[in-house]
Amino acid sequence: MLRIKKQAAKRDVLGFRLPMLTHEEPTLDITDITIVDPDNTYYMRMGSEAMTGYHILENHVLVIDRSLTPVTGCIVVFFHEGDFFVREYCPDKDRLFLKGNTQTDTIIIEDQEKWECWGVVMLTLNPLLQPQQRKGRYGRVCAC
Amino acid sequence: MDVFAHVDINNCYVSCETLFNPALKGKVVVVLSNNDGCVIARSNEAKALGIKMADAEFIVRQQLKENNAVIFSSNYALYADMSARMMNNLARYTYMLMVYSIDEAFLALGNISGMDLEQHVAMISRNVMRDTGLSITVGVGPTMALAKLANKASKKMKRNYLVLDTANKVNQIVKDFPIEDVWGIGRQYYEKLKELDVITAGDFRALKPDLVRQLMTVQGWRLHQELWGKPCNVIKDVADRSKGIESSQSFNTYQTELEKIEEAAAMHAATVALKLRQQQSMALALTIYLRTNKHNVSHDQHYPSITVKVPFATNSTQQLTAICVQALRAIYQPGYNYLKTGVRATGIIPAGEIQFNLFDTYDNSRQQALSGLMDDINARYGRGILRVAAEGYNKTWKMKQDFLSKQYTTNWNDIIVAK
Repeated sequence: MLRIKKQAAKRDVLGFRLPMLTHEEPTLDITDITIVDPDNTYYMRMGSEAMTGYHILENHVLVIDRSLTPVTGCIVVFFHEGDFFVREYCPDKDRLFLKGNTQTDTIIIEDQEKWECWGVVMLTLNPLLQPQQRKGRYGRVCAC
Repeated sequence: MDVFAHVDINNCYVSCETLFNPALKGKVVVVLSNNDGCVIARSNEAKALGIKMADAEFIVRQQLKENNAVIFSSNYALYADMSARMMNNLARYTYMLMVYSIDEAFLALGNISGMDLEQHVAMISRNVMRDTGLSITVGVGPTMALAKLANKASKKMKRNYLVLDTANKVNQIVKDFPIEDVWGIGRQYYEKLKELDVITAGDFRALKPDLVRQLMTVQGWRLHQELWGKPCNVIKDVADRSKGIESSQSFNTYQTELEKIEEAAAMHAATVALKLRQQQSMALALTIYLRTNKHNVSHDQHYPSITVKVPFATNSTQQLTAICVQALRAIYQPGYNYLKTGVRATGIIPAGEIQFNLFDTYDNSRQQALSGLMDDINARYGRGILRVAAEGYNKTWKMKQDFLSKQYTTNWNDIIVAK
C-alpha cells in the first residue's frame, strides 16, 4: 500500500557516520501528505474525458478514500448501471446531481436512497513525463 | 464486566468480489476452491438455491447455469488484501485483536460499563461496514464462546449485531440455540450429547460440570464454563510462531514428468522460504510429498513423502529449493499420475536462535543477503519476477483458475477504470 516506504531499502552504509545522528529524522515521504487512511484507500484510473473541466484527464490515477463522507462539491466514485463513474457530488432538494463537464456527462439520481457512494476522490496523479522519457524504470511512473 | 466481540465478514469471498463489481448484488454468486474444485463461498441468493458449502463444481454446474450464476475462481490475492484491511480497521476499536481466520476475529472490548454497549457496537458495525465496504456480523458476550454464539444467533435473526451483556439476554438466546452450532461441538460430541437429550446450548449448560469433563475432556469443560459466562479462553497477544509452514497445490492436469513436478515443488519451497523470512524464522526440516488422485480408482496410487533434516537451520530460497529438488528425486517414481505436490517446513525456530555447525564452512550471511535482495526486488517488481531457475518458466502445472477476477488492490495493471 505504502510502496515508497517499502522501497526505502535498508541499506547498511559502512564507514563514516554522521555525528548528528540524534537529530536524524525520517526523510520526507509523499504518502505522509497524500494518504491519510491506507487501510481504506483504493486506486482507480480515469477512463474518460467527462471530467476534464475538473482537471481530471484520461489516464489520471485516482486516489480514493472510502472512509470519507461526501459533501457538496467533492468528487465521488459510484457504481451506476454497470460502470464506475467519477463525478462532482451535488445533492439538491429532491434529486442528486452528479456533474461532469457537460449536461450529457451529468448523471441525475431521482431516488437518492438507492444511490451509494463508493468512495471520495482525494487527489489525482497526473503524469507529466514525455513518451520518450518513459524508459526503463521511468516507464513505471503512474503506469497502470 | 469485560466483554468480547466476535466479528466475521458475511460471505467473505463473495463480498470481496461484489465490492469491486457491485453489479453482482442480488445475483447467484459462488466462489470455487483452488483448481475450481468445489464451492467455498456463496451469496445469499446461492444459499437460497440450496447450494451447499463444499459442493463439487461438476455436481452443481447445471443448477448454477440454469440460475445464471456468476462463478469465480479463488482470488486469494484480493481476499487476503481485503482481509488485512478489515483486520486493520477492526484493530482501531480494540486494544487487543485476535485474527482467528481470514474472515473472523475476536476483539477484547474491555470493561466498558461506562457507556451504552449496544450503541458502541452499533457504531463499530456501521463504521467498519462503511469504511471497508464489506458487510460484517458482530456478536458480543462476556466470553469468547458466547461472543461467537451471539454472532451466529444474530445471523439467524438477520441482524448485523447482537449484544449479550446480561445473564437474562444470554439465557434467552441459549435456551433455543441448537447445540450443534456451538463453537467446538463437532459431530462426535453432537452424537454423544444427543444420547443425553442435549439438543440446545441451554440443555448443555444444565449438565453438571463434572459430567461434561468426563464426557468431553477439559475442552468441553472450558466450553461449559464459557457458556456460563466464565472466561477460559484468552485472546493471545502474539500469534504463535506457526509450528509448520506449508505450501501445496494440485496440478491442473496429471503430471508424470519429474521435470514439471520439480518446478512446482521448487516454487512451493520458495514460497515456504519467503514465509519463513517474513516471520523471521528458520526451518530445521523440510518435508516434500507427492499425491496421486485417490478418487480415481483406475489409477495406481502413490503417496510418497520424505522429510529431510536441513544441515543447519535456514530460510534461504536457494538452499530450500535445492534440498527440495534433491528430496523429490528420491521419492518420485515414473509411471504414476501425480496430482499434487507440497512442501512443509518444520522445526521452526526464530532466526536469532541458530546453532552453527562447528564444521560448517558455509557462509550463511551471504545466503541471507541474497534471499533478502530477492525479496526486495520481488516486492518492487512483482512477486516471482526473480526466482531460482528450478522453479521453471512455463508453469504448465499451474492451478486451474478459469474464472479469476482481477487483483484490484494488489496489481497496478488491474485497478478499476472509471468513466
